[in-house]
Amino acid sequence: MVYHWLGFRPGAEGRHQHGKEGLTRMDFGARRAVSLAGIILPFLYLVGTVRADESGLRVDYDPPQLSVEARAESLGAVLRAIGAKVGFSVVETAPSSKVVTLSIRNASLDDVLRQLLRAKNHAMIYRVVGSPSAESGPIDRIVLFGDSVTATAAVAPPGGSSRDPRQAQDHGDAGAKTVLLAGPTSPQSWPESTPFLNPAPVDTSDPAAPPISVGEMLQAHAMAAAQGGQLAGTGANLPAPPQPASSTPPANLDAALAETTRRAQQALGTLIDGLATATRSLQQSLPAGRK
Amino acid sequence: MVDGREPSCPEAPSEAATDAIARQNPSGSPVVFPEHWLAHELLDGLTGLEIGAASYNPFGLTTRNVASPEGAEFYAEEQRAMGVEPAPVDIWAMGDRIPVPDRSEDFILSSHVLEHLPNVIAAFLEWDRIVRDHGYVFMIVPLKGALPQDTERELTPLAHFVECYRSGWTLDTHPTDGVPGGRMGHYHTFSPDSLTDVVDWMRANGLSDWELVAREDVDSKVGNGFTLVFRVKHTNSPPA
Repeated sequence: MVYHWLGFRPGAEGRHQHGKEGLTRMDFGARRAVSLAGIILPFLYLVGTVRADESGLRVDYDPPQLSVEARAESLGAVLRAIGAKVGFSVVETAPSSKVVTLSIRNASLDDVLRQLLRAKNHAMIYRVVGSPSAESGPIDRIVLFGDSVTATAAVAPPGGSSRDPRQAQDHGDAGAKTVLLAGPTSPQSWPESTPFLNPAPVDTSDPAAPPISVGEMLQAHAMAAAQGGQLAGTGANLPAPPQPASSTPPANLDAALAETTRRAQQALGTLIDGLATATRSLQQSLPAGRK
Repeated sequence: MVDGREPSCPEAPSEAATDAIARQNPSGSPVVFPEHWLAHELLDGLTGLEIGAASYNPFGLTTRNVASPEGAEFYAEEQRAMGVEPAPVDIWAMGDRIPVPDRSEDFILSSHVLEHLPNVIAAFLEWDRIVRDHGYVFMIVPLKGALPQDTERELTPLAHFVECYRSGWTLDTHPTDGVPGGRMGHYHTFSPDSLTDVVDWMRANGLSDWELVAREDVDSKVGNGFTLVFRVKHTNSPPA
């Protein structure tokens, strides 16, 4: 069967045409082929091993001890590797540009996940054992929401104290403040028109205005959101929240499958290339007329 | 009232506040925000407490509403001003002193409440007492600039939260200088990282053992806060 793969068919043809000499040549060619196969197959195996090492990801799980070595791997890949050993799945609702390099030895799963996920948008969903209020079971899946975003204040009001916003208010320049928010990178996870981008205008232009009250603060919160929000009875204009991960497959599932398929094709392509090289080598080693 | 000012939490919205609502919600239609898929994902089927529930910001979970008696009428009026009936109150209590048994709830949920508590660590300890093992503390906290008056404030450092705790500060004793709204106003500002630091500090000091199980840097409910969800573990003490 290997010979068919290599495009070389020792056998009857040689014997009919060349008799004993042909048999000798056949035996010689077969031995060469077996020898080459013996060289090539371990080589291909080694190539695979090297590739695994080059991936820079190794997970060892000896419950409850977990060791993880990762070098410039995506967070999703690291978590998937851990999940394969521990028993949870990973869902990415948005791609992340973050790469992970870490080395953790003999830590608990909690510690590892804390280090990996502390600053990441995510959710860990646990299996429920028995009734819903009974003790939770192990992690069922981890949902990654994509890159984090940060909120920053863009303008410091001239003449206003950085410590006392009421002072700025008294100076009547609070209205000039602008709040910028990096756009969410995950439209699957966050509303497209984050109301916070356009906080409700707060009338602070009157120097005699009283200090802000709790009520005004609450209303500012609520109305800021309402500007892009959903008004019951008037039609929703706030983008619907993402559906629970359990009921809706991630939007990039197709992309993930395509990527997996692409990598499988690459691996298969490497194998075929190796076999083709072996075939050429065999053909070149044979006497003229046998090719 | 440490600073001698009157509480700025009135019994009813000020005229200016009412005008602001009228300007910003001229239709007068009820304002109701969507529920939160993440809360449903984690908390459906469980029973818990919601601190400071508001009808215009529903979660659709099985909860009892804990509301502060101080300023209650104000908060009720504030909800009516949004065009909705106030959420019924089940337990009258401050968010950091809730009269329920130890480990009696599956979760505690709060949305835009934490910034109004003068002693965050004390509140967390109270919530840790109430939530059963492997239950949840689910919080949505305003982004630092959600309130314009918070934008220029410094992010409250961990050392301040620790000082609040060690000093035993309460509504009556926490300084209100620089606090927008004064008493019961925005005592502190937060980021997801700074609040996680508080929880980590509590763990490091043996006060609690909470595991971060969800984080949204921008909450997917309304979008002007961030979400942190912790799973409570009572590893060092037996159940009550």
